[in-house]
Parts: sequence; structure tokens; C-alpha cells
Amino acid sequence: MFKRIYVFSASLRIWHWINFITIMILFFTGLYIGTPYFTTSVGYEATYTYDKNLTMGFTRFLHFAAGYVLLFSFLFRIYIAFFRKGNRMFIPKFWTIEYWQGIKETIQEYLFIKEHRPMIRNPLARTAYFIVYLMIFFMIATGFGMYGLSDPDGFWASVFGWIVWSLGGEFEAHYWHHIVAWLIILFFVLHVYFVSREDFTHKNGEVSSMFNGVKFFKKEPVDINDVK
Amino acid sequence: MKRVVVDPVTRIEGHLRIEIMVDEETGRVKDAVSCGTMWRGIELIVRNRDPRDVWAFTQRICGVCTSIHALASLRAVEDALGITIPKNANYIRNIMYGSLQVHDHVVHFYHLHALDWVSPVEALKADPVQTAALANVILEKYGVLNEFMPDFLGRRAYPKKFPKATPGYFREFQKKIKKLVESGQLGIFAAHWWDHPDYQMLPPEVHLLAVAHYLNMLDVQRELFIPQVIFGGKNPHPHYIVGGVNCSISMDDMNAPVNMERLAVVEDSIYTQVESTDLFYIPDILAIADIYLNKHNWFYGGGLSKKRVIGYGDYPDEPYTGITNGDYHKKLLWRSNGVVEDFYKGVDKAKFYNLEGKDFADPEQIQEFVAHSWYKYPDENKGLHPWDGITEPNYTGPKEGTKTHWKYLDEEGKYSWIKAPRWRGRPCEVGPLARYIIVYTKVKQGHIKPTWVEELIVNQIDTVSKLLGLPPEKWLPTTVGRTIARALEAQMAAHANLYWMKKLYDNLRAGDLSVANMEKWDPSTWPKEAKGIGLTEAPRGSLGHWVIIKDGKVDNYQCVVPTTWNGSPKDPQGQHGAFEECMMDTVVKVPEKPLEVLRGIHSFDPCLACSTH
Amino acid sequence: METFWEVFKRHGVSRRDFIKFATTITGLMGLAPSMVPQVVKAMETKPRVPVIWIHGLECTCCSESFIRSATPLASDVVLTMISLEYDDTLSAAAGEAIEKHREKIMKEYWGNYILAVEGNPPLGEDGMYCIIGGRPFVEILKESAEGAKAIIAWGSCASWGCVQAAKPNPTNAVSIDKVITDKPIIKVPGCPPIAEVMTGVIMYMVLFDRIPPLDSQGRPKMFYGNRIHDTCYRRSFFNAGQFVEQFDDEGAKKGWCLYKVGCRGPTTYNSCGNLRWYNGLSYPIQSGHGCIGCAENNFWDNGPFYERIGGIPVPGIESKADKVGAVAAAAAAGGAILHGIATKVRKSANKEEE
Ligand code: HEM
Ligand code: HEM
Ligand code: NFV
Ligand code: SF4
Ligand code: SF4
Ligand code: F3S
Ligand SMILES: [Mg+2]
Repeated sequence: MFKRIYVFSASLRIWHWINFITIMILFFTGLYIGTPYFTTSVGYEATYTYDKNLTMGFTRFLHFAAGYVLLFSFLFRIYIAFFRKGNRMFIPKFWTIEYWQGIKETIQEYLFIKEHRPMIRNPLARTAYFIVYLMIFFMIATGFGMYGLSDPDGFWASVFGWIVWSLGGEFEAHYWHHIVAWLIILFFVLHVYFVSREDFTHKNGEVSSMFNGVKFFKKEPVDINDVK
Repeated sequence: MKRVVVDPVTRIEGHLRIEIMVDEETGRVKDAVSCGTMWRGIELIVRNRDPRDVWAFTQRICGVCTSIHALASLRAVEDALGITIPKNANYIRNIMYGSLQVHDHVVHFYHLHALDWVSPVEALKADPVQTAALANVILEKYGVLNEFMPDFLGRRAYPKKFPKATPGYFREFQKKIKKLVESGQLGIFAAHWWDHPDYQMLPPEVHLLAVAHYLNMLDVQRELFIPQVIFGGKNPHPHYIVGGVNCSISMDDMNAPVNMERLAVVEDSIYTQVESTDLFYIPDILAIADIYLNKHNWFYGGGLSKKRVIGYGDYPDEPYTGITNGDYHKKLLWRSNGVVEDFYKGVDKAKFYNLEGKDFADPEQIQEFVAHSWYKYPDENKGLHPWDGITEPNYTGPKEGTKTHWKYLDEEGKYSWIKAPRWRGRPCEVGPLARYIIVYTKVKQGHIKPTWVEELIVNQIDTVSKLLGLPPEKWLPTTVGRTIARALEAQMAAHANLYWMKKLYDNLRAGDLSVANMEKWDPSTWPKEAKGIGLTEAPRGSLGHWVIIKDGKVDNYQCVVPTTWNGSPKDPQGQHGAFEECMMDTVVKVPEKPLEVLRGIHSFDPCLACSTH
Repeated sequence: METFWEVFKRHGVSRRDFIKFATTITGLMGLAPSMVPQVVKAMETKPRVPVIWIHGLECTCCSESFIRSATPLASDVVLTMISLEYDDTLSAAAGEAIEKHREKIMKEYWGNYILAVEGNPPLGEDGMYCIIGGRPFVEILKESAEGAKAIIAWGSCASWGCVQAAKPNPTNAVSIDKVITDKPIIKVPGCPPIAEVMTGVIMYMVLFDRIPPLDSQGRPKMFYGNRIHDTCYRRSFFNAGQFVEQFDDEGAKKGWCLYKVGCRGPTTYNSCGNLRWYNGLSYPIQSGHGCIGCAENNFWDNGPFYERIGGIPVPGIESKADKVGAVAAAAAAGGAILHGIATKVRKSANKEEE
């Protein structure tokens, strides 16, 4: 029979789904902000259209509202990392031999050479998550940088304004905010595929784990210590 | 022989150095070197860029003749892509262009050139009562030109900018100048050769009058450029678009870029242009010129203008389908296109060569040489037509001194960042003087039936000849004539702006509001490869941009600029450019303070950022 | 600021020599000897702030903009607020005379003059792409900066590098803060800056005798505190989603937002939206053209100007970010599906083997 391992805390699971929904909202509102491809307020007085239609103003409002949610859920995600080992599994331990061994095995599996040993989370996934956390942080920082600089002496500008200047200026901040938005979507596509595949090939309840918190293994996974 | 260096030459745009060899006995300049001492490489920077953006890059070639390189670039790109702009866009571009002509010429005369003729120190000696009397005489005498100047709108109840000619006015100015001098901080007037004997050539009253107008016009000049601020949003460096202009017109929408009020602002500015040229610029310059020519026999500085001048033509009366295809030159109101040789022999004996459309695409007509310029060509004895043009820097240093600390330039080798443009291998002078000589010759010799602009030009020249009591071939090709021609041109441009304004109103009244042709905006509508030429008459002379577009990007871009013509070093055959010829034509009273040479150089209104780009 | 007499005293010059000097310069200025007492008086009272205004690689549009100022008028600034002792464009004197004068002013007002820099130094070819008096401009710049109490970087050239520093920057032109690192530099970017911003900076310095409050980028906060987008009179159309789709369309006539034809207002800090040009007369957006971002670092290389975010330079092709993003995401999805099918096929094969 499969061994049942409790991997994801409720906090982490709640965070994950909030994060998912928020990023979807941010992505689609962001795309609209980048290229307002449809407009619904033509024929109205500009001043009065704001709350009457799905306008640029309203879209930006949604984007910023979701931005705040993303920020606070991100802070929450960092906070919970202090309390449970399983919440720190995204850290790629590239200083260990085990990490590189795991990378090799995972690649071999994806190339249909041979299956990898049982793992709660393979190092390739860990690396990808690490990068995606960085990207989310980048989006938050550039997002609030741009958002905050309408008041350059204000709070958000003092917290995140620096990133705008270190990228070279506002134009560059917009540019990279836009590019990284697509990189996150790229991650999202591959992520959904790989977790589903993991589920299918190893029958370990991978997808459902983000709902109920448990994964199943026939043998003891090599990285069992990361949750114990 | 004494070798005198003036570096930097100030009261110009950019960085220029001159070296003259003076025969100390006669004071005559025997040899002269003109060196452009800056280079930025704009022709290389615009490569591989979107041709619709290039107007903005080339516009930054110069902020003094701001907008003219944008215009040349737009015309070149539109020529390449076969874009015809709407009527309104043509009129608006002409107004923006005309405003540049007026502004640039006014600022040149009062703020960059006047101090070669007049001095604040001499102004202190003037009697304000006499000055006021003189101002009236000058207005009366030289104002006769205004009598045949057309006013196409007739909407000014009375002139709003009128020279004040009261003793009190001049006394107040004199007091201010005195205070400035007494403060010991002369500021922009500091350290000049005020003790040069030439400052004694004019009576003190003329000095006071001109210095007062120097200050007065320093404040008025900003108003001359208002049309560019309305149509292009700012000045310097107003905005444009390929295919027309950006300032959409509507009388139905209160937020439109151009509506009735905006047009009224433009109109008001145009009248200020008219009054500044009619009532200040023209009388002031003619008063000074009359004394220099008739009292002191000062006819120096004609130089190359006596031998050969070139022009391209401007003021398309209506939109044209292309420049290379010849349509541009068919539509012009101001056909200064062509070459005139030997004007000094008299207008009947001068030789005229036509130049239009296809000639600018002909690899044998206009070429640039680099034998004495800090650039590299595969064969430096040959010139290159701009479509085949190469811009590859090759700095070689001076004759005496070190690479970074010069003593004397190497006039036998390379010595300037300016290339040497030539027409059929010959050097030419460009500028208002060239344009005036060409139009005058074309009309008088019967090559063209004059348009109203051309008739006006002939009239101006004949009237000034009568006022000065000198035939055109005597006074025009000189330093003084160059300066007068510029003033006449500013006056013409100011009045032409009234004409364009009327045409714009008429067209709007007829119901045509379009300002941009967007059919070929999208690069997918462009041919894989296209070549174009953009021509215009910039304030300092004829300007051409040559562009080659490949796969939607700029493949080669070459600018041949007025000050490139005038300031050019020698060509492989040793022929000098206009600056050098002008200096060699001059006698200096104090070799180490060559004010006469400086005055001659300034009469070209040198622009070095333009010349080297 | 010290008066002439104070400077002389500090250098141990006697009152007698001071009067003698005053007499000499009275003569030099072409004045009658009876004017000597006035000259002495002038030299004992507080002088106007001397300004040395030098030009590197540039187009002189900053000077041109400066004289367009209406409040204060340029004539008032130049003749009553400051003493413009050196300026390639306006100074009467030329050649050695003006260069000597620059050195003299530097010496006399060491630590007290303002250096205004228009344009920038090219570093290529040992600086010989911009030469003044037979020497590289960069040398004049460093020399003039040494005794300055403050330095103003006029325009995008001096502040950022501007057009000559755009790719491929053939002369290796750099902003002045790359060369002068030990002095306060006030950046007044814009191509050119708004006239009243330029005179406003000068007026502040003269009135308050200190440099204006600067932001983290070295720009005066009072003129560069907001994005044009945040002060733009077309902003309500942006919020409402009413855009110009193409030049001279209906939206253009109605004066709608220029975002979709490439306006850089959202990414540009300048006073165009509030002060506007010519004392409030207009600004590029009001004339129907998007902002091209002329006050921003690197704006020349952030083109094309008529597209908002520019392209992604994928080698060979150049495409809009959204296009590349969508293609990449679709390719990833396609790849995933194929990989998934392969996985399934493998798995069934393995099962059969078992
Ligand atoms: C994964 C998260 C996010 C995604 C995918 C995303 C996506 C986007 C996109 C595609 C744009 C258009 C960029 C352009 O073309 O200029 C944009 C703009 C913007 N985003 Fe985000 N964004 C995210 C997070 C955030 C956050 C956390 C904030 C913080 C408030 C934020 C604030 C902004 C702002 C201020 C803009 C510019 C809006 C404007 O110029 O009107 N974004 N976003
Ligand atoms: C923008 C969308 C998404 C983002 C940014 C995202 C991000 C993440 C991250 C960072 C983790 C690791 C959490 C941790 O342990 O620190 C994770 C795990 C996971 N996500 Fe997502 N996720 C997204 C969408 C989805 C979707 C739509 C699904 C559903 C199929 C999904 C299913 C999972 C599962 C099953 C795991 C656990 C996998 C493992 O243990 O390796 N995610 N996700
Ligand atoms: N030479 C020159 Fe220009 C002009 N006029 C342009 O083409 O000055 Ni700045
Ligand atoms: S900042 Fe722009 S306007 Fe000023 S000198 Fe440089 S290129 Fe010219
Ligand atoms: S026109 Fe430009 S600056 Fe103005 S609201 Fe639109 S995008 Fe913003
Ligand atoms: S182009 Fe420049 S002038 Fe203002 S509106 Fe943009 S900053
Ligand atoms: Mg050239």
C-alpha cells in the first residue's frame, strides 16, 4: 500500500490558491493595461465613466487591489515559512550532491530514460519555485514602485522606488514588469503540466496534495527529512 | 606673415576654430583655415531605426535651426515611401518653417551678429535725444520696403510691436547699460575687443539704438516661435509625424489640439513676426549697412558668393507627390533651386544652371569629399553621392602640437570634422544670400515667370539697391550683403506666413480638416527597399537628407547641411569652402584682434553642430 | 558671496592696490577716469552670481530654450540675477580673450561661481570629438568644475547622455556625472528642458543661495516630482479608456489619450503636464503627439516612439512583448501536450511489458 505523507499545511494551500487567483487577475488586467484592446466607455463623458464600465481606471483599480492581495499573501507566505519545515521545501539545495543527483534523475525521467527515485519534490521543481518566488517579488517591487511613484516622497516610493531607478527608469520598470508577467505565465503552463504528469506517472496524488495536503509513496522518498 | 588663431569662435552654434595667415604689411588675409571641432555621428545613430522616428533624432542635430532637420527627414522618408501629405499639413509645416526662418534670422542678427558692428561701450557716449531722432529717420527712410509687403489677412488694427523712439526710452536703456558696465561685471559683454577701431565707424547713436534693440528683441524673440508651440507642442524641438502633422483640427471638440482660439494665437504671433522684421530688423540693418558701405567703403567678405552659389528651393504651395520624381520643384513658390556663377559681374553676365528633382539623385551632381576631413573613404580623391555616403571617423591630429593640445592645424592634411560637399566638383556658397542671388538671376534672366514670393524678392533687392545707391552685384556678394539678404528673407517669411495662414483658413472653410495621411503608416505597406531625398531651405542654406530604407529600417542616412557647404575644408583639388574664401577676401586692421574676419564668419551664421552632425 | 574688495583683502592686497586695479579696469572698460569712484563702489558691493556656461557635444537647444523663458524673462536673468561671464553662444568675446576671461573669473570667484554645462564630453579619441581652444572639452569641463560651488547639468545631454550617446554612441559620449564625481550636480533633464524650469532653477539658487531640493536622481523635486501622466490633462480619457487609435482619427480630434500611439507620459518625469511650455501655452501631448520621454535616461533607445513598450529583440525578428509572450506560452503548452502524449505512450508500453 502507499505510504501517506502530510506535506502541505493548510496555510500553504490557502496561500497557493489565493496566489493563483491573484496572479490570474493581475495578468489579465495587466495585459489590458499594457494594450487596452477593447473599450466600453466610448460615447460617455470621461469624468463619469470611471465606475460605470470596465474602463482603464477600473481595470487599474482591479490590478492594484489584486496587487495588494499578492503583496500581503506573499508576506504571509514568508511568515509561515518560519513555522514548518514543509513550508521551506522550495529552497534548492544546490550545495549538496543530492541536489545535482536529483536534477540528473529528473531530467532522465523527462527524457524517458528512466524514472527518478521517489521524491516529495524534485530539485528541478524546487529550483523553478525558487525562481517563481523571486519573480513574484520582482512583480511586487516593480509594481508598487511604479504605483508609488505618483507620490515620490510617499511610503511606497520609499519602499520600492529604488527598483525603478536601478532598472534604469520608469520605462525599463514597465518593460520588465511586462516581460516578467509573461515569464510567470510560462511557468504557470509548465507547472500545471508537470504536476499533472507527476500525478499520472507516479500516482502519488500530486495535484490533490495542494487541496488536502498529502502525497502518497510506495517507498520512502529520498527527501523525507524535509518534512519531518 | 602672422598666423592668428581664434578658437573658440563664439556667438555661433557649436564649436569652430579659425586660423588666418595675415600679411602684416597690408593686413590682408592670405590664407585661412576653418575647422569644425565637434562630431557626434548622428548619421550612424539613426541606422537600423524605424524611419518614422528619425525626424526626432535628426532634429537634435541642431536646436538653433530646430525643426529644420525634422522637416528634411520627414520629406526624405515620405519621398522614399511615396506619401503625399494633406493640404493642411503642408500649410502648417510651412508656417512652422517660416517661423523658424524669422526667429533664427532675428536672433542671429541681434544676439549673435550685432556685437560685431555695435558696442555697449560706445552706446554710453550717445545722446538719447539724438538717438530718438535718428530712430525716426531710420524708420522713415528704410521703412519704404514695408510699403509693398502684402498683408493677406489685414487683421491688425495697429502694430503692437513698434520701436519706441523717444529720448526717455533710450535714456533708460543707457542708464541700465551704464549700471551694468559700472558694476564691473560685464557678463556676456566681458573681455571683447571693444577697443577695436571698427567700433568707431558708426556714430554712438546707432550703437545705442542697436544695443537697445538687442535687449528688446531678446525678450520678443520667444513670441516669434509660438506657431511651433501650438502646432508641435514645444519649442525648441517641436513634434511632427511622418504623413503630416500631429495637431488634429476640430471646431466641434473642445479638447482638440487646434481650434479657433489656437489659430488666433498663431495669427497673433505671425503679426509679431511681421512687425519685428518690418519695424526693427530691416531698418536697423539697413542703417548700419548704409554707413559701412557708403561711408567706409567696406565691401569685404563676399568670397565664394561672387563665384558660385547653390540653392534647392522651398515653400511647396500645395502638396506634392515626391521630390525625386520632380513634383516638389513644380509646386514651389520659392524656386531658389539652381546654381549661379559669377554674380559679381552683374546679373546679366551671371551664369545659371538648373537643379531639380532627378539632379539630386544623380551621382555626379552633389558629392561629399573627405580629403581634408577627419573621415575615411576607400578612395579619398573621389567624392561620394549621399546615397552611397560613408561616415567613418578618422582623426589625425594637428600639424603642430600634440593630438590633444593643438598649436596649428595641418592645412595640407586633414583638419576638420566637416566634410566637403561639392556640386559637379565645385564649391558653392549656400544661405539667404545664395537664395536671393539665385531667385534674382532666374527672374531677371527670364528663366522663370515669378510667383508672388519671387516677385517680392526681386522688389526687395531693387528697393535696397535704390536706397543704397548701389547695383546688386556690388552690395549683395559681401559680408554686409549677406547680412541684409538674411533680413530681407526674414521679412519675406513673416509675410508669407500670413499667406499660409490665409490658405489654411480657406481650406478649413471648404470643409477639409485632415492633417495626416495615415495610409502608409504601417511598415507592412512599405516596399522592401526604398530611397528618398528630403530637401529644404534651412535658415543657413540648402539642406538635404538622403535616406535608404531596407526591410522597414534605415539602411543608410546622410545629411548634407548648409554649414557643411559653407564651413567645408578644402577638397582634393584644393578649392576652399565659403568660410575660408570669405576670410581671404578681408583686410584686418589689428591682426591679433581680427574683428573683420569674425564679422565675416558671423555673417554666415555658422552652425557647427549642424555642419558635422 | 564675497565682494571683490573682500577677495582682494583675503589675498593681502592693499587698499591702494585695489584702487589702482579699479582705475585700470575703468580704463579697460572704455570709461572716463571720472567713473573710477563708481567702479570702486561697484566692486565693494555684493556682485551678481557669476555663471560659466560651457558647451560640449550638444545642439544648443538648451540655450535656445533658456532664452524663451517668460517668467522670469531671460534678459532679466542674464542682466540682473546672474552675471553670465562665459557662454559660447552669447558672449561677445572670442578665442583667447574669452578663454583667458574664463580662467580669470574662476580665479576671482573660486568656490563661488556656478558652472552650467550644456552638452556632454565624448571620451572616445581622447576627447577629440569635441575640441575647444585646441583642447578636449572633457579637460575644460574638469578644470571649470574644480572651483565651482555647484554644477548645473542642462538638458538630457549633460544629465544622461542624450542623442549622441544613443546606440552605438560613436564618440563614447557620457553624462557629466561620469566625469565629475566630487561636486553637487543639479540635473535638469529634457531635450531641451522647459525654459521656465531652467530659469526657475537659477532663480532659486540666486534667491536662496543654495541648491534646490533634489530627488534621488539629482533632479529638482519641484520640477521633476511627477510623471507627465499623473499631471496630464488627458488623464481622464485614459482612465475612461478613450484612446486615439491612429493619428488624426476621431479620437485625435476629440483630444483623447495618446497612450496607444506610444505616449511616454506614463514613464516620464517632467513639468510638461503642469507648467507646460511657453508659460502654459502647450506641450507635446496638447498638440496631439505623444510624449517621447525626452527628459528620461536612455529615451532614444527605448523606441520605436509609436509603440508603448517597444519590442523584444529576439535575434532575427523583432516583435511586441505580448506577441512573443503568447507564442512562448502557446509553444510551452504545445510542448507539454506532446510530452504528455509521449509519457502516456511510454507508460502503456511499459505496462504491456510488465
Ligand atoms: C504577477 C503579478 C503581476 C502581473 C502578471 C502583472 C502584470 C502587469 C502587466 C502586464 C502590466 C502592463 C505593463 C505595461 O505594459 O506597461 C502591468 C502594469 C502595472 N502593474 Fe502589474 N502585474 C503584477 C503585479 C503587480 C503588483 C503587485 C502591482 C502593485 C501594485 C502592480 C502594479 C502595476 C502597475 C502600477 C502597472 C502600471 C499601470 C499603468 O501604467 O497604468 N502589478 N502589470
Ligand atoms: C500562477 C499560477 C501558479 C503559481 C505562481 C504557482 C506557484 C506554486 C508554487 C510557488 C508552489 C510551491 C509551493 C511551496 O512549496 O513553496 C506550487 C506548488 C504546487 N502547485 Fe502551483 N502555482 C500556480 C498554479 C497552480 C495550478 C493551476 C495548479 C493546479 C493544477 C497548481 C498545483 C500545484 C501543486 C500540485 C503544487 C505542489 C507541487 C509540488 O509539491 O511540487 N499550481 N505552486
Ligand atoms: N547649417 C545649419 Fe542648421 C541651419 N540653418 C541646418 O540645416 O543650423 Ni543649426
Ligand atoms: S538635451 Fe537635447 S535639446 Fe539639449 S542640447 Fe542635448 S540634444 Fe539638444
Ligand atoms: S496622453 Fe499620455 S500622459 Fe496623457 S493621459 Fe494619455 S498616456 Fe498619460
Ligand atoms: S517629449 Fe519631452 S517635452 Fe515633455 S511631453 Fe515628453 S517630456
Ligand atoms: Mg553628412
